[in-house]
Amino acid sequence: MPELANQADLAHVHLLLNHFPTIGTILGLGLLLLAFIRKNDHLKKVSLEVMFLIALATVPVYVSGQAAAEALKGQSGVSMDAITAHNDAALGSFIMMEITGFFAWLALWRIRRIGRPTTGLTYTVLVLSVLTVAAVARAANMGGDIRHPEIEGGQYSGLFGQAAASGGFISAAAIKDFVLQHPWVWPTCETLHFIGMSLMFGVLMIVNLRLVGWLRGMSFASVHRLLPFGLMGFGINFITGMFFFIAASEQYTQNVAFHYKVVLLMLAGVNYLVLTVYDEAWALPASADAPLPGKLLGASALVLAVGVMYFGRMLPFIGNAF
Amino acid sequence: MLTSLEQSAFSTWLLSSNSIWAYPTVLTLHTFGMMVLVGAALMIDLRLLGFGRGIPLQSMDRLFRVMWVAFALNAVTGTMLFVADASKRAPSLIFWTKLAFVAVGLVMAVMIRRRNFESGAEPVVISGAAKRLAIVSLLAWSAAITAGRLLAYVA
Amino acid sequence: MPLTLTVALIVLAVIVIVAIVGYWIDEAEEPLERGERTTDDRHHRV
Repeated sequence: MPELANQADLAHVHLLLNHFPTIGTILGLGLLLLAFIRKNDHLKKVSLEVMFLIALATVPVYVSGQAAAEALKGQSGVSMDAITAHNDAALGSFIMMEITGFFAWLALWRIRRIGRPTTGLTYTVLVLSVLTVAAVARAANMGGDIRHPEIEGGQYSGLFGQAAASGGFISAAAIKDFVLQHPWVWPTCETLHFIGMSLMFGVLMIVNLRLVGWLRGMSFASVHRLLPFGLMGFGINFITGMFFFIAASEQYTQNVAFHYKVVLLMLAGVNYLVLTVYDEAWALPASADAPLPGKLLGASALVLAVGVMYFGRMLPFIGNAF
Repeated sequence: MLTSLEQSAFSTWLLSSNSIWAYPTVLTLHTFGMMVLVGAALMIDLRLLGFGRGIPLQSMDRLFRVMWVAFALNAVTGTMLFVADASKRAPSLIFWTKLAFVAVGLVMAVMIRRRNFESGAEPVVISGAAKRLAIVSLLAWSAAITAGRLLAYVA
Repeated sequence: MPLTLTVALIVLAVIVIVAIVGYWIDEAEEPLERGERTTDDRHHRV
């Protein structure tokens, strides 16, 4: 399997991609606020799409951050405490980001179904976005403390202190300990990972086989109604996947199969967004065939999902896991 | 007999071949089959329980074919996996528990098909009996996956 | 508690949670009968 990135590349990827959750969330929040001020429903929808895509992009940010930490281990002038503090703050903000992304998706799903944004969900996303921006800003500031000697002594450097003192509510080390000390956690996560995968693929099958035209006699709008279950299946796998990753990151960060899995996951996420908001598909009544772009969308959704499963299953064989 | 299965040429090929085309492929196909089989079953179960109510029940009929093809794949790959590890799997309670749950899931699928799809008519209201079958199916497949995963941890 | 039982109970709990959340999301949804969108409604889309 051709290597996508070595450890130094991954550290670089982290420095590149972290701009999504940092600058991206501020822009997304700004757009959403502007949409409220201007009472513009179209702009609200766009802001929600932006927030969802940023939440998606934050996944490789977190995992590459872990690789960056490993790359810096033992280097002089780098404090492991600063890295740990940043990692923990980032984990908390990552969770906030993904919760925001989930609600942004839900809001988009409802907009598709009823034709306009709902007040409750849009305000929820607004509040979550504010909290996420705050959490990410804190994490990002702590990231700056790792290896920017030029800012040392400035008013905003070292602002949040080290992990324990900074009042962080989550600790990667604590999660890792929890997994390693309780023998039921890993098998439970694996089982849920398979169930989540089946739920997600079931929804993908019914929606995309309809798009492709193999399943007939139902409107696209009717299968669209099942999309939240697909996202919940993914949600289960995201949460259990994070347990695996935090508990045993060394099995994943340098694993080429894992790299491919994350890339395909990102593409699958974009595909899922399109399925959720796609106008031409939404208009399809029970009897109609989807236009060619719709069929391609459907086919690609299934191929991507199988690819994600493939690389996940091949983690111990292609890569160096276990 | 079990050890002779394990030591057979097939089993040795499956386990010790360095080719990417042996054990990992069989395992991946088995995982794929599971995802398709359980995924399709869950969709039918969800519909019977009232989710996605805009979907005409009869339009989901083709999903049963998907289930049977996926099951066939898993029966074949599952047998291969069993043969490679026969002396460990054959006396394993959790292994037979898994197969029992798979059997329940399949029986549920047959019953659901017979009672709700075979007539070809779209039901006005989904019966309580159909909902109960759906719940049993959902739980059986989840239990099968659970038992299957626990194979690696429990005797 | 034996491993098998712990795993089974948590799996069951997750299934129940997914069912509840799924039901809650679905019930908040407008009935399809009132709003099956056709191309006529597309000028309402945001």
